Amino acid sequence: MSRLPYEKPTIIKHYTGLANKLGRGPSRRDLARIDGVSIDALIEQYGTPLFVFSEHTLRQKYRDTHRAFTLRYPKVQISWSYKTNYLDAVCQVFHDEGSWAEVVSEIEYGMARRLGVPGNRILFNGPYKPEESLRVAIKEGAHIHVDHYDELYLIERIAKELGTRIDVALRINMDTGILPRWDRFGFNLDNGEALDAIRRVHAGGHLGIEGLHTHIGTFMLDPAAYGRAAAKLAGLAKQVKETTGTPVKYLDFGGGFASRATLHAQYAPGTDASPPIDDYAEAITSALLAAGFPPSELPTLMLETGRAMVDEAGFMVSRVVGNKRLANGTRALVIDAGVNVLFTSFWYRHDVLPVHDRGGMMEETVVYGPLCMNIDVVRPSVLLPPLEPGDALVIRPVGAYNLTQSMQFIRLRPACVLIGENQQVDLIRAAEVLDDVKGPERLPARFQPKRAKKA
Amino acid sequence: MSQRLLSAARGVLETYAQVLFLKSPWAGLCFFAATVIAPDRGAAGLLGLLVCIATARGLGLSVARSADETFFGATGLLVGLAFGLFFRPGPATYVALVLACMLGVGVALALRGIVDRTLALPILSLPFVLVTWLALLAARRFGGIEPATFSSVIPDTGMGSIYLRSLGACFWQPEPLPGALVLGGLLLASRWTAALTALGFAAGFAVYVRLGGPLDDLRYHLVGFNFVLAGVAVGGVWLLLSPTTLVLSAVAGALAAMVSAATLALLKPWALPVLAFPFIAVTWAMLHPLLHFPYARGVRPVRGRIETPEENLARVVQAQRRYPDPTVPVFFLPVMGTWRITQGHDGDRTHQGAWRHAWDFEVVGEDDRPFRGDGTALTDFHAYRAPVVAPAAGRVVRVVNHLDDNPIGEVDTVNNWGNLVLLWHAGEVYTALCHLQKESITVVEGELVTVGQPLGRVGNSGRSPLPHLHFQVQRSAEIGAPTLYGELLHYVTHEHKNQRYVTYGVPTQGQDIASVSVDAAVRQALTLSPGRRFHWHVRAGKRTFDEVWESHIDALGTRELVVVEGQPARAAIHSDERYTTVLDYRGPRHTLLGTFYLAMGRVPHLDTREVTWVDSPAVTALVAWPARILAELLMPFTSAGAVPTSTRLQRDERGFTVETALETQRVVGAGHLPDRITVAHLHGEGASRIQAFRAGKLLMEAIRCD
Repeated sequence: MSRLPYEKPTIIKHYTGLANKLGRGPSRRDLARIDGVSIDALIEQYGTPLFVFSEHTLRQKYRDTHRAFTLRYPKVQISWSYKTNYLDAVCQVFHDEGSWAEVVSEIEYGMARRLGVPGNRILFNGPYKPEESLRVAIKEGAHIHVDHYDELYLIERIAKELGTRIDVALRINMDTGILPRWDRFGFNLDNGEALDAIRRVHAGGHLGIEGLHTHIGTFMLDPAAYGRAAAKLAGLAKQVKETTGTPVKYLDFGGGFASRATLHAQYAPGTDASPPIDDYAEAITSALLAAGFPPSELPTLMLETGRAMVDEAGFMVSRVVGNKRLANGTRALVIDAGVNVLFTSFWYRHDVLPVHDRGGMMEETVVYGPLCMNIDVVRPSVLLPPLEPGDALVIRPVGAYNLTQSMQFIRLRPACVLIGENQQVDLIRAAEVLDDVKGPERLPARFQPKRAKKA
Repeated sequence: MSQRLLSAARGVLETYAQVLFLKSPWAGLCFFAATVIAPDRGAAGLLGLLVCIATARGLGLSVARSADETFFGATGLLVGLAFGLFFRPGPATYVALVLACMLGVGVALALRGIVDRTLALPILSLPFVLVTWLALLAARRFGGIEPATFSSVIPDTGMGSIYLRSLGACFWQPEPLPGALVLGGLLLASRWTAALTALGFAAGFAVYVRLGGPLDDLRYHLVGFNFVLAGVAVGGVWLLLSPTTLVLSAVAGALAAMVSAATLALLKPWALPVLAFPFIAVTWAMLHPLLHFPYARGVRPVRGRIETPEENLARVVQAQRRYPDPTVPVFFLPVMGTWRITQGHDGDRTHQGAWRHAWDFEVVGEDDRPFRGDGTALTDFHAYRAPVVAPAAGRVVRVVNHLDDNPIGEVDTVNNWGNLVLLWHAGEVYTALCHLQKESITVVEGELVTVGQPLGRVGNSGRSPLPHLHFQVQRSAEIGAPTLYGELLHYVTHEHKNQRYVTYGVPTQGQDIASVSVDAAVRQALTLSPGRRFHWHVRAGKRTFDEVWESHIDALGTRELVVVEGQPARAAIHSDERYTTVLDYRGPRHTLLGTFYLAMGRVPHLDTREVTWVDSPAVTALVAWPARILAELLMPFTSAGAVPTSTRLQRDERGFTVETALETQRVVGAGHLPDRITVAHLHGEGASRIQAFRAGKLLMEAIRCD
């Protein structure tokens, strides 16, 4: 007779009274494979924590987004928002599918150019664009989205100096009936600042307006807001035509489409509550088609999607470090991935699944990361079966922002792998080593550690 | 002064060529030479020609139209030549000739109106025949006009010599030497006309001999040339040359034999020659049904200009191979994005019988399914509520908007077509867009719509178990009218990972198609707008030269690229919203424009990467003359003179490159042409560099330098 596996005793409070209106209890779920590749095999080769990306999901999300919009509007161009995830491999997947690059700093601009994206397929956003980077962007034909008057004056000065006419786009903000109302980026439409800017550009004579850009929010759960934004932006586009005589070439609605993640304050899970991409497409395209553009002047619809295309393609594989009981008896789990690599835990209620469910009672658990910081909580409360140190967990969706906002804090940044369409696994970012953190440091001579004298 | 003389001489020579349906002044020169071998006969012909033209001008007829001048001139020429043959030269003869020619003009004018309008047939040489008969009858009474005597000994009797004599007899010179000159002129200007003369003659001769007719008829009675002319007229002048018309040409020759014999018998008591009457009768009898009643299979009338048989055919073959048939209605896609045709023409489910020419459009996801989730709700389907747009400009004639959308899997067979929009388009063609969503149609009956205007949304009404769009072209404004054959324009089909652009076509079941989205930058670089100049510096092997092109447009809107500095050449072009195409090329063999024509035969203004397309431009102007003649001779049977090409557009940092691969090994005589040509374009400037390669070696390179 073989020994039974040890199952720790758990104390579960019995709830007396009427039956629980929510039913019996949640189903037990585990996730042993991603895209058919065994997670245990990945852990064996690459260790944990480990970012895993699914190329198939990336492509599928891109195509779903592309289809949703192209079905409803004749001229659509999607740009990949680099700040959401600027891994070369991920960006290249999107470029291969046909997307342009949307960058918000000269650093990201350099990343895009490094990948061979031509300048005229880069949208250059952002409130801070150093003069040198603007000159490079102008020279390479990038599409600059102007954020404020001083940037406008700077570009105009450069245009005068070069003696050429430069076409730019203006970033616009407006009231779309939602909160929070972003008014820090671009020119406001409702109080007339946008029209002023248009007139100023035209009067200057050195710049042309090729596009209008608005990015109304992030993780927007109400597609109707986009419809209102589209109607307002289309109206502004017509005013551009009236003022300058040239129709606008494109209208850029940025991104902000919700992925299937669940916000902390949200009751219904994201898989149910987040609107499908078709709803956003419907709102924007019907407003644009109803705006009354003459057919030859129909502007190209540009999108700068990020989260919606990459979030669900990213997984974090982590291993349990230890079990604890907190003072009030709440079970706690310490894992090797924390807010240093899962920054979006501050906003999302990530899905945490064991790779193998070995049975045992499910219990409300706090999941803590490895950092010695009180804020390092991956999930304040999630039902998990009993787990031993070394057991693996999958956290999802983590494709958006976690990598770009990961910290070199207390622990080093982990490796990233990409699972291809034929289940081939490629390392797309090696795990960082100490030198990656300490390499740039320069220690003054007086602080150099003294070599121990030989005895 | 010499310019006017030159153009007058050219006009006269073209009149000589006109007798055998040609326009080439060189052929005319050969024919003129044939007539002046007997100088007084030739002089009579020329006199008749000039008299007729003078009469016409004297009457104030608008001879600014050179076709008119050639017509009157040809009548006079034939009358004069006939006079020259039948009468001895003398003052009386010439007076009679002048009078006959003046009469000829009157008769020609009178008859032409009747024949053109009532019979809708070409008048051919009917005025000449009538006037000459009249003159021959009148001459009997006028003693001053002496009939010429014929030698009664004809030394040669073979078919070949009779053939040559018949050719000469077209110009009333029934001797072998003029006939040989005429044959030479024919071979120079149009090989197929020469071939048809032989075919028509051989058929007529064979019939005559087979039926036991006296060969003397053919020798003395100037009959054989009727076989020749009938063969040519029916074989390729008014009908497009094809294997069928070759058969018809032989039939014409044979019929001409019969009619000649009958006419000979009829005119025997009057002792008049048959002249060209059998030719006219047979040609009219055969052309009338063939021109005016649409028969299928290889018999098509020549539309537009009448040129030599091979030129008529080349125009049509080239256009037919590369461009949509102007009589077929063509439409843009009625939807946006990528759709799959789940049932096409002659489909297996419902597109059959009177409703065979229809398409069903559905949207499928990555998993090849038309729905996401479990597909039980209408909203699960990708196609549901997708916008439907007008496939061409037109007017809304019917709208049905009130029917419910069926739940998935159920159909409404009472209102088969569901909610729909019926559009009228110019050309009395209607289109129907069916199975739309309830209350989704945004246009009303009577409203004018532009191409691409949203009309409604895809639903599930009518005989539709799952959301799809049914699109058909039909003959009338009735719901459920029988369909008409139509084609779709400017779309891209997805075949695995490759995308192929198609200018016009009929997508079939299972194909994924998407409409072409126009890229403004590509379009701007390719418009070749009128007035633009392109100055090229060309290097071809050791030779360097400059070539300057200009884009022209004429009053009718025909656009051309013309070489203004360099060897004269021209290429007709067409450019619209969706694509730019070079229609043809005429000029010498080794110009840059010729290479441009091969490379840029067709370029859609795409913004999609990895799209290729095929074309087959004619290369007859670019190959040596033996290959050109071979291609001409093979033209009715196969498309010998066109090289298959495959092109793709690749975008890069500063613009894009059009790269064309040519399968020159498939065309005889095209071995010296490049097999790969790249044309690099810069944004804002257009074409900037052309390179032509053969087997990897650079043949020609040209850089823009303006």
